[in-house]
Amino acid sequence: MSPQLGVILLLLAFLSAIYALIASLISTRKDNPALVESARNATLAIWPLLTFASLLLIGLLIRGVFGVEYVWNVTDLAMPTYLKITALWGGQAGSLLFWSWLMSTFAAGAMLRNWRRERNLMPHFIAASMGTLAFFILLVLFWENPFASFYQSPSGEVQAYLFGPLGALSDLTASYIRFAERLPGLLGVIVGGVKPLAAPRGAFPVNPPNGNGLNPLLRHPGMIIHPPLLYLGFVGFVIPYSFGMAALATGQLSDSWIRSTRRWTLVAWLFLSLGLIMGGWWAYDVLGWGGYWGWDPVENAAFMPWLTGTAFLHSVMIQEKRGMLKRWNMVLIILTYLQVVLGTFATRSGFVSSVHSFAQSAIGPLFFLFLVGAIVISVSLLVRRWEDLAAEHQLDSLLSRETIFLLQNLVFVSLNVAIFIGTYWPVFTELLAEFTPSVERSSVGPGYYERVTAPLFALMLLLMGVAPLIAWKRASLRRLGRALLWPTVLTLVLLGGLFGLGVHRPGVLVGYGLAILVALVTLLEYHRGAMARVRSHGENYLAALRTLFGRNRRRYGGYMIHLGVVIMAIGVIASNVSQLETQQAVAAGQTITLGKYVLEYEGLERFVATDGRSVMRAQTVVYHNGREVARLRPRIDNYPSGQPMSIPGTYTNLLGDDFYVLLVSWEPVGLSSATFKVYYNPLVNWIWGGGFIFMLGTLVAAWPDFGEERSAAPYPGRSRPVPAAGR
Amino acid sequence: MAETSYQGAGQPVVASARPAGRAKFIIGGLILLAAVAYLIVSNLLSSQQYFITVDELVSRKDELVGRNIRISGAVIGDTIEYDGQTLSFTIAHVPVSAADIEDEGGLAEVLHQAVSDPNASRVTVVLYNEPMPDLLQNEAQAIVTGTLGEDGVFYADELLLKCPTRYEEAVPEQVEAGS
Repeated sequence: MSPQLGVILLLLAFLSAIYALIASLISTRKDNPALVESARNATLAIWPLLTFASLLLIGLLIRGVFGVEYVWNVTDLAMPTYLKITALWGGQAGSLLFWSWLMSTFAAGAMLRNWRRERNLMPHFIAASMGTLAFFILLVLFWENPFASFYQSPSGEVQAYLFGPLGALSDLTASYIRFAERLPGLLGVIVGGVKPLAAPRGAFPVNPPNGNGLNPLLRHPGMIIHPPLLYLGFVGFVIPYSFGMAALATGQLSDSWIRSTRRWTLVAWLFLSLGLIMGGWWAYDVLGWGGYWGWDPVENAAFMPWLTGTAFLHSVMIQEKRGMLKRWNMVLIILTYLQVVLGTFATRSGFVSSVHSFAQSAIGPLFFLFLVGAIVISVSLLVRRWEDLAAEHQLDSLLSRETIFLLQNLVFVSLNVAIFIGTYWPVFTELLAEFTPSVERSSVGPGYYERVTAPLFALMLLLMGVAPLIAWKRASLRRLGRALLWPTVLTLVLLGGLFGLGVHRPGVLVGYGLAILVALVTLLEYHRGAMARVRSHGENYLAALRTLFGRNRRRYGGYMIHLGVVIMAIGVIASNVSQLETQQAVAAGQTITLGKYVLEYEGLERFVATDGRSVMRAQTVVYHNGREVARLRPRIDNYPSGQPMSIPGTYTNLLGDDFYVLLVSWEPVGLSSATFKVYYNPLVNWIWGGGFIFMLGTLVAAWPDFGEERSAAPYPGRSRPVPAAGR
Repeated sequence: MAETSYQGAGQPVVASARPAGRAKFIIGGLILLAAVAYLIVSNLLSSQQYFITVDELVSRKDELVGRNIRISGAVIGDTIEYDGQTLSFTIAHVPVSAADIEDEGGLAEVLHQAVSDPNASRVTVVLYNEPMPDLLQNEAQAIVTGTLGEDGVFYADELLLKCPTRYEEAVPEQVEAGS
């Protein structure tokens, strides 16, 4: 099937989104049920259109139609089929299409699921979500079209066009290009960045025999699932944002929209969390620097919406329970949405590295315009309803669950602000330097983030530990002290043990201590809950634990997430402060000693893999206390496209420590000897294990509870009579 | 259970505590914000890395010694030396401003010219105990972070490399060649 069909599908999807946006906005002026339903149908129609377009692109990728610019850019003949499929998100144009498809899926799902219950919010919900989607399809259609194909003009120039020669349209395209070239500066970049519509008269399609191939660094399972997870998280947060905007626009500010979107938010949050963890795993496994998080702008851009999203998930509980923090929750969901958009484009436009490179692509300025528009609309809606969002209660006491939640929110937002400033510091100083010569452009390294975030993360752990023990409204210090007594004593004992094992730095001991305390308090909460049931219902202990989860999934799932975070925190602390590393050149038969481990180098082999890579692989043996524990084969792959890639060998012991070996060979050293970089990363696998528990906990909290849905139904659906035909 | 342990609202103590309570919240919040602001500002000031060109590095050598600096330059392939421990290479001056780079024909062209121009300012970069980076080759753009030593050698602890036009090229080369 021809790529031009894809262009037409995208055009139809774009028109549907625009229609849904306009129809839903008109229907808010005068109540017109038929028009709202028409907008709904248009929203639903986008999904099959984008699904078809995505499948079409996947088909082109699999078949290797290198005449299509995108296919040529991200695949080559040697790539296995699964990588050709995942190349859908291997480049900019394809990922934007994929993003739009996910967004249309979420929007259609959330709309159908809440159609009757939140009928009054629907017109504005459609407007907000379709406004967002229309913008993304607009980018895919006109600026980053993955279906554009190469044509060679009679004068010999090769360029990608949406369509082949089309008579008068070809002339029109040519004059458009000439017009855009004359436009000055940014306007010229934006207008000129549009993919030309029709190839010149007499041009013929070009089919290169092979493509560029996917960047080897991206050929890893972690990288294959990491972007889709992040995107799912990103688009997922558009749903609660759209509902929030609808609540603001209609003035129906009860917490019903929060209840309706709670699960969508949790699911979005789960995907975003998993995406971040997967990204870390990929970096650890592929990038070969022994770490998993580098405070790179791209990582930060995905982490920042997670921070505000997490704060939102917590503070909506206060709104549901006490009718407080309504303004704050709106601010949080708006911030999350804005950072999702910023995160999507900051990483793609080169904005972070330099304002100037940002202005060289059309995508950056367009995103920026969209962002400004979203800020204006969100803030003006918020200001209009500011008074209606007043709290129904006031904080009663400094020591209450509400205060802890508020504090926790402040910590999340502080983290966000600190990371934001660090990430965009080069941009700020570059702008300042333009006006004040005394300012020099500068950036901050990972050290800044580590020093600023460490105390804030510690504070967060502390809050996580005490929050479950503190009552709503007003708690007594004596009761808290009693509840904390045994966990604290036990924590101090365990810390004493750690001190004996050689952990002496105070900051590190505080970190471990807090993590242990949270773990103990959380486990004790499970135990108390279960014992209460054992006593009152006579259930056996395990059955009591199970009912506990069943009765209050959100709460006990939440505690499970906390346990996951604690386990990850221990892994992060240990692998950061107790990491050992060395780099040595050794001849065959020689050894490298690191801690209690010895690495013996046996020899090097060189071969060519089936897909054309030439592989240099070292044979090594790892000994622990003189006993052989593993044979590792770190290697360097040379792809035909020229970029080499180091793949580490890793041995994991029972505690979750990694012995991580990189082959660092360099030609002059020769085949008989090789250079290795060796890391010993204590407890690093706790991060992945903790991530797994984190995921399970979120699933427990988000699992559909049909009993709850039914009991909640009559309350928010009060305003509209249910049509008789409905049931 | 903690949930059930609070005392009912409407007790006289609660009512009278309210005005004082509000001030407490505001003061507490301000203290927290001030602490965070201090944390951010003090660390920003101490960990700034200045972007400097190789030209500036050479001409302002004396005042820059010992400061945390980030420089970018074109790698000269013949100068790369690696013995498994110490990695050293020389980089030549390239302009920082994207507009200048564009004027001179794009990054690849700028890097090529910098390497072939014997009069361009150059500085030797040394790194210890780093693996030989995959992308370190002639005419790559190196962005290094570290400090300038008294001996005029740049001691880097971080090395970023960029190879222009490796992926996502505009037009297929084989097509251009065939036309």
